[in-house]
Parts: sequence; structure tokens; C-alpha cells
Amino acid sequence: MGTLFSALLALYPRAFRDEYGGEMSMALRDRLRHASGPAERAMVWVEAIAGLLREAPKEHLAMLQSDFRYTLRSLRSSPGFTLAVIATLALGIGSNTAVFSIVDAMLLRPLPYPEAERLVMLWETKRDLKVDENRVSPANLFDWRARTRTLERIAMFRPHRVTIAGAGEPVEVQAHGVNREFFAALGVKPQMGRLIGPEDDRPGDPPVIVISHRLWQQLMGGDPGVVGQVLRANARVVTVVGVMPPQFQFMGPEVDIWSPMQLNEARDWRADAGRFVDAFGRLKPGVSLGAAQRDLRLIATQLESEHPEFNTGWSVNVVALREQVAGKVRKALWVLLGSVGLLLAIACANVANLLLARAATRQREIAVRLALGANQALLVRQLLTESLLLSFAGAGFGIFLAWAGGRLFDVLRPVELWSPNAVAVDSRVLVYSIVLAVGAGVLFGLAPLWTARFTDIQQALKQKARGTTGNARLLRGALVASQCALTVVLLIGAGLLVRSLMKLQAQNPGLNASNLLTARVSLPGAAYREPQLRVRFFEQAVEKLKAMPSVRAASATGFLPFTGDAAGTDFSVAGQPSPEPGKELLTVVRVVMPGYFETMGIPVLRGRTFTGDDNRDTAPVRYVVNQELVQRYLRDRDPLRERISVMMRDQNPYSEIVGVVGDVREGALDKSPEPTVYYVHAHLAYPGMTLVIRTAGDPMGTAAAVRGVIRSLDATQPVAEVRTMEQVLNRTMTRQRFAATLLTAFSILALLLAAIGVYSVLSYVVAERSQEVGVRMALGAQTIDLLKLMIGQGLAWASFGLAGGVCVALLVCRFLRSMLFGVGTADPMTIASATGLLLLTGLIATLLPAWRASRVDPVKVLNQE
Amino acid sequence: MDEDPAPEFFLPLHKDTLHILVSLADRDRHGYSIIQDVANRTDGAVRLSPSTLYGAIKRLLEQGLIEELSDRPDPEHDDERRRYYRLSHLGRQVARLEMRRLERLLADARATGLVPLKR
Repeated sequence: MGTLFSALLALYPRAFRDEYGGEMSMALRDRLRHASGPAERAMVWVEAIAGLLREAPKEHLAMLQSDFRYTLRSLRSSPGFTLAVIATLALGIGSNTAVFSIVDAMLLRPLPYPEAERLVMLWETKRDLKVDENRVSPANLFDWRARTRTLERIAMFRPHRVTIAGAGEPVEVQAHGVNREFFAALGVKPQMGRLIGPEDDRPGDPPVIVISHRLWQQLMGGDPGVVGQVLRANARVVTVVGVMPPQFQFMGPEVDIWSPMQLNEARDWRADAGRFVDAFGRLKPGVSLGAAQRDLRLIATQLESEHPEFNTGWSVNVVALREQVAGKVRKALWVLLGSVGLLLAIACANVANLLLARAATRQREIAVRLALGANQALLVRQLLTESLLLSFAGAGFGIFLAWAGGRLFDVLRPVELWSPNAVAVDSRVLVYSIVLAVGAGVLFGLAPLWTARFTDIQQALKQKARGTTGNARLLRGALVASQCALTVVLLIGAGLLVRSLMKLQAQNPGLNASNLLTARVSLPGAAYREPQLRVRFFEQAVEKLKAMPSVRAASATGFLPFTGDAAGTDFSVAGQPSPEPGKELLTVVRVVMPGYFETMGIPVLRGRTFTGDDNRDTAPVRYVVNQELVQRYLRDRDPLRERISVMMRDQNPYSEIVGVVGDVREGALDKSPEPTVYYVHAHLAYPGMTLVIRTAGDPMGTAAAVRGVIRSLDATQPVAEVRTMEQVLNRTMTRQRFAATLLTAFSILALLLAAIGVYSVLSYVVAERSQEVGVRMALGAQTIDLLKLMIGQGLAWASFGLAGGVCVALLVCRFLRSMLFGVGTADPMTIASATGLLLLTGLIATLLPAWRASRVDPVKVLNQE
Repeated sequence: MDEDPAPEFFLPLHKDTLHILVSLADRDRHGYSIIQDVANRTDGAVRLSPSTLYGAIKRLLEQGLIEELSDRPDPEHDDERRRYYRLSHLGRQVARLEMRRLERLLADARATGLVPLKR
């Protein structure tokens, strides 16, 4: 029984147990001895144990409160130290929390749709093409839907732009044409009204739309009677049937309208249409992605043999929706999280050094107490209370910094970094922050204890008041060296990304992007049904623009390069055998107006470009092609003597090539150019064209005038996406710029922290070695000798760190390979710059302490001893 | 040297604390003696467990309301591991103040008819 109670006493803090444990056991024994019978003895036991369980936690709490009060007093008495530590930790923990909140929103938190893990994107893919995310043919999609055993729904959507009129000024918005299964597959519900369903999606069904919450608020003033209201969308009368909830987004933050596509499922879409819809599906419960992939690939194989002229070589790619949304930035985000983790490690090293310096006077005390058998657990508790208090204070400020950073990111967030989850400091992020704070606190908090444990007691007693034990000095030097090592890793990583970005920006895009304004005009199909009307409209617009004094040249194109949008099809060359199915000659197709190449600064290499006479629907079809098409398909031949047939229209007779122009990077700067065929507008009369205007001065200064010109031709026609070509180009590099900017910022912070680390430790060493310096000076040492001594010490730490850091960087930076362009992971220039920068910073950080060492008055110092 | 805080600073007392101070008012005692005395005086209504008692003793020592004796009242007949406690001057003042506070409370209760008047 006594053993049991003694064992239970272990619940108490050791100090209390040592003090009162014996008496408590005696008191219990006496009570049991005086108990009248078994029942009362049992009662005594119950009361004893209940009391113990109630009181033991209170003792622990009392001790923590006492430690807490002591620590607060101690920290208040050295405000400079406390602020420096809290600021350092706020930076380290805050930056980690901020990046984690972004990673959480984009990569970890489930997408905001019911059972989102079952949603998958469906792409067509051609075996010999490098593209594995090609849009889908509606005919193929209908067959997938009929034959699949793994998907419970297959939906399609098609991004396009819509001009909305009937509620204030006409405005052009982004829209998705959707099929009947779209909303059902997502599993979402409207805020008001209903969603598009089977009753809306047949050809000829009454035209309806669902609008976004934003559109409802901005355009219709949040009118509660919006359901049933009538609007004009692309000059067509439509009825609003539903409003989406405020947070709803799917594949883009800017979509404001959903309308039924009303595709005729009985039509043979393979005969005269290509692959032009986007598709996604919902897996059946319990079905894996791999199973769906195999299922759809099997169907694709069947379709290949059933429709060889359309499907030879084509298969299916099934991608988890989460992967689709975040896949491209996944690596960059993990790299950033890793980098910011390094920053925290550097911050912790700094704080550990600060604590070590501050605790130097306590080294002796701690060592003596340990040697005399002091309770190590008590010491650990006291050290940890201080470090955790500092850590949590730093984390508190850090969380605020992270919250502010998150708000900024959400506002400035480029489309490439879109995800349907908003960046927020929620409970998961807070837990992450707390874990970091605890980890950091334990890591740097135990530094003084670690050095004290291995201290020789006699050595410790011999040290002067300001002295440090040898172990502490070693640890401090090691900490500074590791800070330098980690800083070099960050510097090299940032350097690689920055050089990569610079190489990307230096790439010749194939056109002259300066002083070039672009503006999108999408004519409503219903009002401009006749192709000649569309051609005429844009001709007039371009004429009026060219007449403006601030405009040097003007033209228009179906889709701007570098926006990722383009049509594609196959073609054949006259006199050459038709390629076998699956081995077609593929080309991008662009539609342009006369003067396009001149306005864009695309060089004309052979022949001529389109003229006004070409831009008539009665004129013969003529093509302009790019250099890449000639090199790939017409090598060793004169392209101006060749005739090609391009599968874009109902009738595609062989037509002459009249000119060859320079390559423009169609998709992005870091991809090679695609073979391209250019049509003149009259022969592929798209209703939506992007005007391109070369201005004399600042392009945005002409924006208002451009709107005026369009309004003068059609007062109801809005102008959208007014931006410069430089802005368009810059957007292609958003991901790279995002990663490079953040990593550079982290490296600069790390460099600063490392510099502070070197400076503070060296200052301390100088103060500590003042006696030695005094003796040296008395013995005739010159200022330069002392400077060399101190600077040498600082640079020695930095150099050790550098060497280690470069080795680690060479290993670690290999993960950056896929993010780099034109730069290898062991780029010598980057490594040289990073090491040079670190050494320079280290040198600067050592100068002041070293100079102070040289100003020591040897007489004063020697007299003090 | 810090001055002792004023006795009023410690009021109101927890009931267990008051019982311990009352128990020590007539003589010095060791732990089990306090437990017995409190149980006897309250006819078993208040039974202090060792945990409750020694938690309170630790606090009372820190507050200066009780003191540990250096001499043992009866060294020959007692376990030398036992420690004896005495009510300090401050502790006596605090206990008296608390009793007066409770008397006033009782008088108020009688005045309002909550408790019958003493005959």
C-alpha cells in the first residue's frame, strides 16, 4: 500500500515530493492505522487518491506561474535583448506561417466542393505530341459518358466572353458554357434560384443563365428579385434562373456567367469540328484515379478503331482536379516552404547565440548546480519557460505578419497562382505556427544547458565573471558557421532563380512588345451574324485607330500570343501524299488583319503579308506561315512555291503561301515555337478580336481613345482586357517571378540575420578577450595585427560555413532543375556571387568589433585584473 | 527587507485554510495531528487528505502565516521525520480577522431573518 502511494506521489513536482512526500506518506499511514474498519480504510484511500489527483496539477501550475513571473522580470530587465529575440523569431516564424498558409490553401486544404477528391479533369492526349492536356471533342465525350464504368458524371465547359447589356452600361465578362451535368458533377447548390440542368441543355431550349454573386451585386445591385429577370447576353435575350454563392469559383476567379451549351448530341461532331471543350468528371465512390485512367484509355482505344480518321493516335489523360489547380506551382511552393524553414533555422541560431551570450554569467552557476546534483529537470524547466515565452511572443507577432502577408497575397495574387481556397490564417495554420514556436523554443532554449552539461566544474569555477566556458565558445562558433552555411544555400537558390528569370526575360519573344496596347472586342454573334459585318467592323475600327495622331500602327488578331489560347488543326501539302491517320501535320492557326505583323514588329522573312485586298471574303484564300512551319515541314523547299490545305473550314482547297514571318513563342517564352498558319480575318471571321495598337508614347494613355473609337462604331459594344503587350509578356513569367522574388527576399533576410549573428558573437568575443588583447598590445602588437586577429576569427567561421553551405547547396539545388531556364543547378557564376556576397557581408560584420578591439586601452584592461 | 503584507490582504480564507489555522491556534502540531483535530472538531464533516493538507501547509509557509518548528515538542516519543508547525503572529492576526468577518456575516444573516436570532 505504501509503495502504491509513493508511486502516486510521482505525480507531484519533484521539489514538492522531496519536501513533503515523507510526511504525506506518514499522515496516510496514521489515518489508516486509526481507521475503524475496512470501510473506513477504503474511504481514507479514496480521499487520499482523489486529493492527490486534485492537488498535484495545482502544484505544477504554481511552479509554472512562478517560473513565468521570474522569466518576465528577467526579460523586462533586458529590453534590448528581449526585443531583438522577439523580432528575430517573429520574422522567422511569421514568414514560415505565411508561406504555409499559402501552401495550405493551394496544396493541402481540400477543394471547396463536396467530395472534391473524386473530381478529375479529362484531357485528350496525342501519343507523339508533347501536349498531354488537349481539349476534348464533344463526340468523344458523349461516347466516354455512354461507355464509362468508373465515372458517375462527365461534364463539359467552354470558356468564352459575353457582353451583358440590359442592366446599366454594357460590360464584357468571362463566362463558361456548360452542359447539363456541370453543376450536378460539382455537387454545388445555388444561393438563389436553380442551376442549369437537363431542361436547359437541348438545342432550342429557352436560353437561361446562372450568374455569379459578384455580378449580381455589381451589375444588379443585389436585387432580391433577380431570378426571372431578363438580360441581353451577346445581344441574345436570356433569363436569369439562379445566383451562385459568394465564394463559388471553378477553374478561375473571374467567371461571372454560366450558360447551357445546348450541343446537339445527334450531330456528327467529328465530321467538321475539332477538340474544343474542357471536360471534367466525378469518379464513382471507391474508384481510384488509376482505374478511371485505364477505363477511359480502353474506351479511347475502341474509339480509335471505330473512328480512325479522327482518333488515331489519340488517348485520354485523367488528372485529379487538385493536381490540375496546383500542379504547376507545387514544386515552387515546396521550395519556398523549405527556404523559409532554413530562414527559421538561421533565426533560431541567432537567438541561441544571443541566449548563450546572455547566459554566459550563468554558465558557472549552472555547471556548479549540476555538479552538486541539482535537479536537471528543474533547470530544463526554467530554461524552457524562458525560451518558450520568447518563442510564443515571437509567434504572436509572426502570426500577425503572416495574416497581413496573406491578405496582401490574396489581393495581388496573379491568376497563375489561383486556387478556389482563399489564403487564411485558420486553425490548421495556427497549429503549424504553435508547433514551430514550440520546436524553435526547445531548440534554442536548451543551448545553455547543453554547454553546461559538458563543462568541467573546476574550469567553470576558475572562469572570471564574464568568462565563457570553452564549450559555449565552440557552440557559438558552430552556430555562426551553420548560419552562414544555410544563408549560402538560400543565396545560391535565389541566385539561380533570379538568373533563370533574367534569361527568360532576355528571350527574344519574336515581336517588339514596347509601346504596344492591346484591347479585346467581342462582337455579339446575334447582332453580327454575317461575317462581312464583323470584318467591316474591325476594318473600320483599325482605320479610325490608325488616323489618331498618337498611333503609329494598328491591326487585330484572334488571340494574342502568350495568352496560351490558339486554335490548332492539321494540314497537308500539295503534291505530298496525305499523311496516315495519327501522323498528321499539325499547326497552330491564327487569324489576323492586314498590318498585324508590321504592328507587332514580327519580321517578314520571305514574300509579303496580308493586304486590304486579301481581306475580302471573295478574295482567294492565301496563307502566311512562320519559320518553324517551313523548317519542320517544308525544309529544302521554297515555301512560296508551295500550296497547303488547312482543315479549318468546311471547304479547304489547297492555297498558296504568300509570305514567311519570324517565329513568335505561341504558348510561353520557355517553350519552343509552334508551326503556325495565319489566316486573314475575312476567311475566318471570328467575332472576337484583340486590337493591337503601336503608340507613339505611353500605350495606356491611348486606352480611353480606343474605347471612344469602338463606341463610335457601336455604342453598346464594350472593350475588355485593355493592357499593354509588356504586361501580357510579364504574366507568362508570374510563377517564375513569384518564386524568385520571395526566395530573394528570404535570402536577404537570412544574410541580415547571419551578419547580425557574426557581429554579435564577435563583439562578445572581443569583450571577452580584452585582457588578452591588452597583453598583446602591451607586448607590442600593432593595430593591424589585432584587426587581423579579429577579422580572421569572423571570417574563419564564415568560411567554414561557406564550404559546408556550398556542398549542401549543390545537393539541394538539384530539386530546382525543373524551375530553371537556361541555367544549370551548379552554375559557377551564381555560386561565386553567393559566396562573394556572404564573405563581404561577414567582413563588414566583423569590422566594427575588430575596430573596437584595436581601441582597447591596454593599461586600463591590465589594471582591471 | 520587505514588510509583511497587511493581514487583510489574505482575506477571505479558504475554509480548509481556516480550519488549519484554527487547529494550530491552541498548540503546535504535526500534519496528522492537524488532520485528526479538524475531523474531531467538525464531527467528521471536514476530512483533510494528505494532499490537501500539505498543499495548504506549503502555501501557508510561503505566506508566513505558519512556521516550521526547529524544536520538537516531544523528541523521545515521536518519529524524527515528523515536522511540527506553529501559527505565526501574522497567521493569528489573519485568523482573527477572518473570524470577525464571519461573525459580521452571521449578524447580518440574523438581522435579515435568514438565521433565527440567538436566544
